[in-house]
Amino acid sequence: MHTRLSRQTFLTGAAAVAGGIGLSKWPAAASGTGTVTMPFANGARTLATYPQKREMILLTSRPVQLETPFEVFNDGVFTPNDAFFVRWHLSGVPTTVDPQAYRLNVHGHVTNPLSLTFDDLTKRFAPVEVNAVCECSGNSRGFFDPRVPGGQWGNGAMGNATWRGARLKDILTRAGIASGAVQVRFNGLDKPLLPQTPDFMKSLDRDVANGDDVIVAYEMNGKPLPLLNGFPARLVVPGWFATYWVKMLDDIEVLAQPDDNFWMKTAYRVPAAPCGCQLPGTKVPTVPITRLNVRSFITSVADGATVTTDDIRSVRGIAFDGGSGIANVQFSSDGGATWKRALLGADSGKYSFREWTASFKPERGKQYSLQSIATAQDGSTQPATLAWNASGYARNVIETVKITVSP
Amino acid sequence: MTAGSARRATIASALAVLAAFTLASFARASGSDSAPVSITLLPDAQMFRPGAGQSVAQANCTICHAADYVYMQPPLTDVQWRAEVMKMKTAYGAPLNDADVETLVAYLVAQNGKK
Repeated sequence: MHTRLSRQTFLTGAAAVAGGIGLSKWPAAASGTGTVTMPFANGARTLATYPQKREMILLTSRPVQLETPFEVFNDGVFTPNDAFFVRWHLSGVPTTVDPQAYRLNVHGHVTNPLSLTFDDLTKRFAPVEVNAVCECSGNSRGFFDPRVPGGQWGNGAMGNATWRGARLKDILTRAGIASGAVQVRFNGLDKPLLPQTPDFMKSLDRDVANGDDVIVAYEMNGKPLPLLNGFPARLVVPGWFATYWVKMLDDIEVLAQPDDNFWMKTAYRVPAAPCGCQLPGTKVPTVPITRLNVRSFITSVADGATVTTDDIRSVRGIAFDGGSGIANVQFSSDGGATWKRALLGADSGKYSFREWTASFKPERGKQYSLQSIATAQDGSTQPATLAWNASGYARNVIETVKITVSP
Repeated sequence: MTAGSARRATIASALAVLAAFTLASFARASGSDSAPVSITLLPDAQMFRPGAGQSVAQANCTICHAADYVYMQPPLTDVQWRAEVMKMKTAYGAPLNDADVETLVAYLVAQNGKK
């Protein structure tokens, strides 16, 4: 591990000597001719290649939102940086970011306000690494029935990476949290285009912000973050939905009262009921969305596929939860009538995707409804029916992949 | 390049390599990791299509987002589109005149609506 990383530094150092340390300018984004159609109304999407990214599913162009093609999740439990989903809320996303000019300001209810440079962040705090799934609150919203307005994602608004950065707790300790502080608010370089539009900010309770695993990450899978994933640094809150993983993080404010900004008080809220659900057409009390719920996916075969008995001898997939870890995954090839335990792959940590495999020997000419259900170490599991909510958040219903085996 | 300048360049490279290795042992995120990054985004992928109210949508919605935010939605009812328009006006501050609200709702229903 150390050898590989040293070599990487050597290569970039050598490149810097050869070319001078200049602007890293990427080719402009390109919209290809490829299209995909998600299996829901208005699901036609073009494929586009953005700077530092491979060809991805273009959900929206401004602010840009890119979905990870689902087959990527069958390539391994870590999602490559160039395939990692992209979601911005505000159109004022800087397209040039200079880490030398970057400052991370820590202020508010603290005894020692800080203005950290990028070098401060990377050299003056002990680096820590965590493998963690970043999942958009609205991942899979397009599959809600009845449909709800919002970003119409398929299942590709999630990814798993090794994040490396400074522990937020260490930064807050250096800033000295004053007594009476209750929350910590995070803001990034992205800005609204209209002064009356609420700037995108998210807050965590003080004890959550001080968790050992919460970091300000400046590396993702051993590389700098792609600009569209939050270069030069983003908040990583393992086990929590991506809405808290503020990108291009440049401002941390310690608050003496709960945050009532729009993105906490009005947006990103889920029904307060334990199921997180409500009946369509009803209004219910809500709370801010927090932790990921347990999910599992089949990744080795796509819904609607026709396969041969030679193609398929086992089924593979991934599972994850909000940080207790995956206890087991069960697999069914008969739409949930009978289940058998899948074999879990290597454990990359309690916040990571966990691979699973189940043997499956289909018969020629038959149709199968493949399903998986994961149970987390905290005992939580996936519901058989969708916990519908008006914002289309936190889908974790058992998914079904229907396949046909050719005669 | 003269022999002298080539030698100086070699020495400089060797020193740079040495420096890189030294840095690597202390802190990895250094050197070109902190070079500026600049990207270019795509223009709007979709425009508002012709129809009564197109100019209202163009003038008010595209300040902050491309038209694909409308066309990716599932077909929405009149009530749902009105809720979206009012959210844009009141929560996000779209400078939409009260007199234009119904024009815009009717346009959105015509573009991507359902009963």
